[in-house]
Amino acid sequence: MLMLAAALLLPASCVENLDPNGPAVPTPSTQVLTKVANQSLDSDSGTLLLRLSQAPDAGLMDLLRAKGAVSVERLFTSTPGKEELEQRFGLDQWYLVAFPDALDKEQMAASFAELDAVRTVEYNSFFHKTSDCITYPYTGPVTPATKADAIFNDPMLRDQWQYANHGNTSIATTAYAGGDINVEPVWQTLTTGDNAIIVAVIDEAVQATHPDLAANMWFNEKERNGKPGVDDDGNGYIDDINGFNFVDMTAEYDLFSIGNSGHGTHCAGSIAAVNNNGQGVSGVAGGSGKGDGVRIMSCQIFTGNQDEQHPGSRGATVSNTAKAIKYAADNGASLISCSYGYSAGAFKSDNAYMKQGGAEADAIHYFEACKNNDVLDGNVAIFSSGNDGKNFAGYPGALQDIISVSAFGPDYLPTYYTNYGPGCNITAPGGEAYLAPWTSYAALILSTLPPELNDGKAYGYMQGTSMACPHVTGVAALGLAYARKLGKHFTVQEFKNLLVTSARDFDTRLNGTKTYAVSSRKQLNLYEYRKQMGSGAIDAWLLCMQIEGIPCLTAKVGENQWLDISPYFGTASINLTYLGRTEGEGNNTKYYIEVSDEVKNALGLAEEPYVQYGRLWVHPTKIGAAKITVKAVGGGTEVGGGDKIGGMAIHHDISIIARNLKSSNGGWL
Amino acid sequence: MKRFHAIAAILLLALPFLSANCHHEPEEDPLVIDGQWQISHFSTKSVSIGGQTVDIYIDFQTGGNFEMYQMLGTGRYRKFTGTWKLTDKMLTGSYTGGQAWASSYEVIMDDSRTQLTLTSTTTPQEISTYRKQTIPQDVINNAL
Repeated sequence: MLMLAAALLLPASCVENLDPNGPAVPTPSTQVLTKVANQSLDSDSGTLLLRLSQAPDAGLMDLLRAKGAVSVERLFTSTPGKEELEQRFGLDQWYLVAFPDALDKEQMAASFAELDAVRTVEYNSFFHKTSDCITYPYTGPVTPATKADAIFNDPMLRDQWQYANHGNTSIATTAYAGGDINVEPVWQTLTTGDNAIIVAVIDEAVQATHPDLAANMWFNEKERNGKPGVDDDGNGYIDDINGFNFVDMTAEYDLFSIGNSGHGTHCAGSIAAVNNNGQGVSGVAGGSGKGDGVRIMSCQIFTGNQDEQHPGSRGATVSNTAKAIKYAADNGASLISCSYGYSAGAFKSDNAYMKQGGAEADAIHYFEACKNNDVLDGNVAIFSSGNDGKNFAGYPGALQDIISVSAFGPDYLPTYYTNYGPGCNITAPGGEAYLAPWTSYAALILSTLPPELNDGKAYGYMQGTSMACPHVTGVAALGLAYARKLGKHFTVQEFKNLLVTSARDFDTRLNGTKTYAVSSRKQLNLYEYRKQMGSGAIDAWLLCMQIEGIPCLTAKVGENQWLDISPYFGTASINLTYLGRTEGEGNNTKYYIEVSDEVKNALGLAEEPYVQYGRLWVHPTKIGAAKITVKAVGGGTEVGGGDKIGGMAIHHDISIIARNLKSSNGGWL
Repeated sequence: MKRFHAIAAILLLALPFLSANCHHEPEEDPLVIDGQWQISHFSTKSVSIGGQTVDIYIDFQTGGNFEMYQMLGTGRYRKFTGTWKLTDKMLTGSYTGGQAWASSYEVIMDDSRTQLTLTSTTTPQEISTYRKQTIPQDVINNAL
């Protein structure tokens, strides 16, 4: 990092005249205060992020020094060939300013904001992992599976209910058969992964030597085969073989210092633990044991949650997180799995977040604009929605255009901790510790852990939307692998549409109450979660079917009739809010679909098509075919963005063939 | 009048001989549609509707069962099964589960026995033509 081209280290003399009480700071004006983007609470002492209107010249450096800065360096390493993209997202404008810890950061922020060249001052806030980071060692049998019908021979696969939930009541008395990600048929018939797809885990370090992860780790070959201590690939990072430690800015990962829990290793195992290797667990996109799993890049931003409950922990600041995301973008990752965020309620709208959380938001959008695979025209970021039990998601995942994941348990119901509501786009298994019969930890999520942090066991249980997030990331990785196998191409938005609409109905189970027990019996009012758990439960098979292509729906000429759009929007189609002119209220609402004259003519539509009860109603009067674009909200009842927090805008082009004949089962005859 | 009766009598006597002569004319072969077919035309058009590709394979199995592999537009073939019956050039059938086809069909087979035309009896403008074609194994294997 010393090689940062734009880093501007100030001479030691710049701190000579520092007043131990800090420089004199006048009362900040309103104009100055509006430049200060966020709150100082829960942020790093001694650093601030500045968005500058110009690269700092000698004059500006003098001014910054005079105000107490001891170093000013460009936040993001510039990557040759990507300068234009960096500028488009404003990455070239962000600088990290360091000053002595003794100085009051609020006064420093106000002081820097007085400078004309400073457009924004951002406190270097801390993110928090979306898990309680409590691990429970696995104590079950570890002999390889020998059952004839086992898909993989990984012995613990049978204990990973998230892949195939058989309603085993020893896991939870309320366990629900089918409450899983429906990945087994994908493994059996379609794909198990692709080693050309790289997934960056932005988290604690991933234990790259873990026996169930090592074969699926990403390797930076130039560094692996290069000289120690040399930036062999010229990417600005020395010896970054599996990724980088952005907490300490070194290639050496910190797996075991205070605060580490194995959170990153656990998430990585859910995505791509090596399958069919006769040991441990299976990962969603971990391959078939033939070197064909997706690859894990480890970008360490945490040791622990840096707060009063975790003294001594380090990271994750906005600055190291934003750097990690850009690193993933510049070094080949197609997906980032981000099981962290701000607490729900820290920001109440996209605008508030974008104004206050500028640097990492810019990095996320830069990541999604970079193209690192031959399926998409960019990349996809996936976040956890948070564990506050609040009825809205935490940012950054709550951003309208970013996928945010809520959590369900083996009972196929919302977990007691999950955030829900606006900003939550889809739900996935996150595990739940407090379900009866309380005889084991089997209701949580089983994955890989560093034995050093887990009573010597290489596998264990955790819970949280942190665990739900990598399941959606893993499914997305499988989808990319399958699309690559088929030679299919999508835009990022198209792929997000496919992912968010690859959802099974979740809402019809949301009646009455759910009982769980922490210190005493508690209940969730399930009705509060209706239409609030995103578009439904992620379904790996459905995603792959959508990637293959969806057959046309058949309509009969001369009748107003409903068509089943679940192949396009999942069985959760009945729960979605659709966009368009509405008529009626509640469950009876008709959402009218805007169609062009071309479509009207092609089908001779006798009336405006509409969606009601999750079905598309059309009335063609002649034989023909057309595509009707149906728009919906991916999570919640309102699209987010601007002054709102809300769901993702999703749409599908639904192909319809109108014939004189129609069987109700869709058969041609 | 007498002459008329005489002619009639001659014709009556000749009938057995005439009918005996008919035995020497070729009998019309029974209509046999057993086997595998692929749609080649829909109505008068090629195998598309409004630009959407239509691909149908049907296996009319001896014994009255059928398997149909259908793809409309894109995606994977869908498999349908059921039973069929051909009576006096009239094809009827139902899907597994008991649901009748949307129509019965009048069947015409060309002389080469390689082309089959099914015309809906309820909406005669719906005409599908099929050609004799073995169903590819990958269609069978990958159908939903």
